[in-house]
Amino acid sequence: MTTPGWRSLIRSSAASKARLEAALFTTYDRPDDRLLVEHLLPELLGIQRSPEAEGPERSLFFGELTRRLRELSGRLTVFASPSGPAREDSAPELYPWLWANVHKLHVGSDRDVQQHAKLWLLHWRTEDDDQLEAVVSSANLTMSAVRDQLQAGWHVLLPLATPSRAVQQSWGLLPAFLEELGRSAGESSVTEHFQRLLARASCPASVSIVASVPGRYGAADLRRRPWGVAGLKDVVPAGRGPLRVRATVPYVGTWSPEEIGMWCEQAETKPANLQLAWVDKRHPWVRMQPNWRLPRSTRDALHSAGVEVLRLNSSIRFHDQHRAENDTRWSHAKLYHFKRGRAQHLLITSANFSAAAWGRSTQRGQLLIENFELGVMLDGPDWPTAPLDPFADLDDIFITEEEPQSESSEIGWLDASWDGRTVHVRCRVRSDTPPTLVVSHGEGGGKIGPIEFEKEEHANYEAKLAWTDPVRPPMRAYVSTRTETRSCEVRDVRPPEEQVQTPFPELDGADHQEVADRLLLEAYGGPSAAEDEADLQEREPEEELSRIVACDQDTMLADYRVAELEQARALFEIVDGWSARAAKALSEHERAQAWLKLDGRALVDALHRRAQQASSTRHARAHALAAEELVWRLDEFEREVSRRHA
Amino acid sequence: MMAGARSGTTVHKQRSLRIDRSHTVGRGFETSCRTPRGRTMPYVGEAQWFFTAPWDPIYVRRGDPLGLRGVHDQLAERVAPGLTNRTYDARWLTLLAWCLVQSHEAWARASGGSLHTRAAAMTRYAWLRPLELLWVARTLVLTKDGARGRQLPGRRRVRVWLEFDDRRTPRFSMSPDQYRRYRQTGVYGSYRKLLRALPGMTQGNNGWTPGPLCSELATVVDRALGAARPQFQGDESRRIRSDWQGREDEWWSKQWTDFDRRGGLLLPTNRLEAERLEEGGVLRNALFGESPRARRRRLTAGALARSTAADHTSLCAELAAALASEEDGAVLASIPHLTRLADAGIDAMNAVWNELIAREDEPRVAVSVLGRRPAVRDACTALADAARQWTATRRVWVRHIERADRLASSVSHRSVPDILDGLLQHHLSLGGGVRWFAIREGILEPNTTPLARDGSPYGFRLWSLARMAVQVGETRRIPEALGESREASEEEARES
Repeated sequence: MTTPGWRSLIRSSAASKARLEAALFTTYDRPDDRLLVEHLLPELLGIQRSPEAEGPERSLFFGELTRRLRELSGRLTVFASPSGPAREDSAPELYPWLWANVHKLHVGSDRDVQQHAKLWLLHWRTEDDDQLEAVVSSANLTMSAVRDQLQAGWHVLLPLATPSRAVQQSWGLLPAFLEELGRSAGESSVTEHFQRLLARASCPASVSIVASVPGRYGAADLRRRPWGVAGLKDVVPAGRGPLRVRATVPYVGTWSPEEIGMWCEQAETKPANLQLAWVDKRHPWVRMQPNWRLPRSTRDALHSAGVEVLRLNSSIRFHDQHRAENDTRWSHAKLYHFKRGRAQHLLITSANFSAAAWGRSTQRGQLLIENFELGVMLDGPDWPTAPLDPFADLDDIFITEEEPQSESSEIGWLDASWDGRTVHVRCRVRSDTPPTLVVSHGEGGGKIGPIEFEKEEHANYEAKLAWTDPVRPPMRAYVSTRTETRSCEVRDVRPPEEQVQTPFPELDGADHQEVADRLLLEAYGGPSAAEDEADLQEREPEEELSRIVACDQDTMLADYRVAELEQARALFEIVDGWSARAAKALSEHERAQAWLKLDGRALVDALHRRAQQASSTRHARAHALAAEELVWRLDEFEREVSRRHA
Repeated sequence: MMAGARSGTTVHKQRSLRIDRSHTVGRGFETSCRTPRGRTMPYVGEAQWFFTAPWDPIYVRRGDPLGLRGVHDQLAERVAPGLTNRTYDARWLTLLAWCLVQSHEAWARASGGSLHTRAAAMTRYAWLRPLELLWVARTLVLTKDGARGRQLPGRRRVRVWLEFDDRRTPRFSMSPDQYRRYRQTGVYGSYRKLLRALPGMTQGNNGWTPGPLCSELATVVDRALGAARPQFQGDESRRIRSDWQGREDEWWSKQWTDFDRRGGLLLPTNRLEAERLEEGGVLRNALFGESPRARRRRLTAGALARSTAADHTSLCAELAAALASEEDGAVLASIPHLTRLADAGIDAMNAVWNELIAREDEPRVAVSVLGRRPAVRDACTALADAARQWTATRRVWVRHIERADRLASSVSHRSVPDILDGLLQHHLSLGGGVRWFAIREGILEPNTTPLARDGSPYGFRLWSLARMAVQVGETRRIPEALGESREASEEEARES
């Protein structure tokens, strides 16, 4: 593990036949719906269709994506910082419906904090076993993070075994980090699934977790859970010699020389042994856009404290395949290298060199941390670039103006969910006047409200608003005080049988029922839903069926006079496809069984619809026969499920 | 002390296995390993730290801004059945026929079987895709002008594969994501409808199994390739080992090492020139013969070749008149009226877009201010006129025509701000594909990257049809009113 790889983030290492069971992502910036819908989710869910297609193929892509997202509803979660005003460079959302099924949760239900960690946990199921894929990196869930920035990360795919406490403890602070993340987002239960997974796969040897969780911590707290800089001393190379530390981060916060000294003390080093790899004023990463930030006062503080600043010139390569001269991306990697004697460790993390990330000592001797951060300390890797020279002239160092103190928002946190009957909104507001709530279906859609919130405890308010229309579900909740309005997406927490009442998004005029039926038949072994995209609304069912038989026989059939038995056989393959999945689902969780039942019933309806549309008795009978058989097997399946539950 | 050591646990690591980093069993490489006996298995357990490689995301088109794609597709299928806007080079039909024949043999030797499920079709396609890309590579190597004007989807990555990656990188230097999506973005995806529809091209019209026409065309290509043909290694009747599955690109690279060798230059053609192809006679009957669909294509191509119209709407009017005596003539009569409405709608959308992106520093503008801009005002007035004409015309119902009615109703106003508001609301609520704009508290802002500066007009695949008619010798000219396919030129610009 000493040599770095060179890989795309938008790629899983799970086997191609593995199915995603659950996923957890964390990000600082607003997660980008385009990245998820157009790139990441198709990759993770194994969707072969593409959103760039037009017409019916596009509708089928969104139909298939929505089908998969609904199957996983409540099991895909993104944790982000509290929703603030949109950044200037972030585009408005194109796919707001995504967040009904991919649940976006904001930290900060109890106090003002930032979520800055970049963690992906993916739970996979294969034919043979379950697997956990973990990625800890410097990448947010945004297009620019993946396209415009060079990131560093750590990745592992592990087989899951029987749970044990010792195995969970091998992950050090990570289970506790997840617990705190869920608690801060007001949904503790969401991270429990992943905490349990950590008890089923050991953290690789030579890896330690370094994490920050917002809060004020005394010495006793930090002995139990060494968050922030307090955790470094346990994981840096052991020994008596001087510990040399070198860091490259794109953002350096405001530090005084004393604060730098305290950070070094906690990390068991000295300012004179600390080096910061930084860019000069002409570096392409900052020439057009100040993508890196170092306040002038901090540069002076570093100098006073004796910290050496090294020059990362524009030809420096992070990897053999990094063609720095042609690569227009700027580095967003956050790396800290620790070396004592011959022993060396490398920390790959989300944490910039800032007190908000690592913690600041208070007058009472506590450590005050503002951000959630996460990193992995690896035993062995060398510093990844060629040797660096120190800046000869301090004036060459790229610096930025002092960061203005961000104004704290009156609305600190909000969260909304919909159970099919009521939209439930919670918020934390620093105001004695209750805020008001408006809930909207989306662009050009209906709105309900305003209604007033009721106070719960401390600064937390709660409101419930009736909304029962499944065709136009609530998408966004707007919370307003006298001075500001903030909004968040409404999570869909309806049971599966209610979620399917909502039409697929982005249908572009295609018939929802036809798209749903085709995808369903395809999913269980029927013909490809896109066999003829242009005819999505027009194809005669019997024509489609005849083509299947013709393909099977691998001969040219000039007419559609095929035997009833052969037609029925093709349809029975769909029934068999459902039965095979049902047999597997008997040993799976209840949710999988519920979906199988739902799909089974929908298949019966689809076959009946096709029987009614058929222009000949022969075709109608074949479909009706298959539907009848499926009803019988569905009954069997339901009886078996009930028997096992009993 | 490190965490793993602290707990005393061991980690599952397959140290004895040789990692084959080019293998593609999983979603990408580095996901499988080879045992000493050559078996592949998922590689699970080893942690890796990494830097991110550059990522070249797939461009998502802006699509259908007024939601009129559905009705246009309905009518286009009547005047140019079986075609799409990306089906414009008959040469690709010839080359794909050859690819189908070659890949059918490889697929049959590898697994064969039924083709009726999606999974089976994907397995079959996996043997075809490398050949599509090798033809792209061959064209890039053998043309002196950098293959200008030729339809070569994926050319950017293939050029990297040819010039920088020593022709060894898996998937022709595409990311797994790009390679997977080549099914839609590639040439087979563009011509699949015709491959299924043309009589004798594929058996049972399944789009996969070569029929007599396909074999005949493949022979033309074989003859032209001469010594540059693939030279199969080993006994051609032997089965292909199952471990080549997922590495079909590698297999084909080994079999067709002479893909860049000069033979007869039977290559994709330059879209800016439409000339008769040497194999045109073979294709002509299939494309423009006597089957009902071919006959309709023939009638349309003839009407287009005779046209002297100066603009798109007039051309469509001539076409509708030429087809008036057909059984569905009454349905086709709506084509010129729809064209006028749709063209006016796109002009207005483009006027708004251009106003917006002209404000480079801050591409945001109040809707009320936008309505006062001359270009937007004129385009809105023209749109309202077209809408009134549309409403006043008697039409036969065709599926999705209500979208055009909705557009006409939304913009049939006297005041420019009302027309503009109607247009934008229609786009936001009924437009398909990626929305161009968003409106926030009366402020309009762009939703898409300014990669494509304006939107392609709606069409009926007439340029594609007219070009292929010339290529197979059915007609001699493409009417000037059709201009050039903007979609095709945008596609090339994106790939360059």
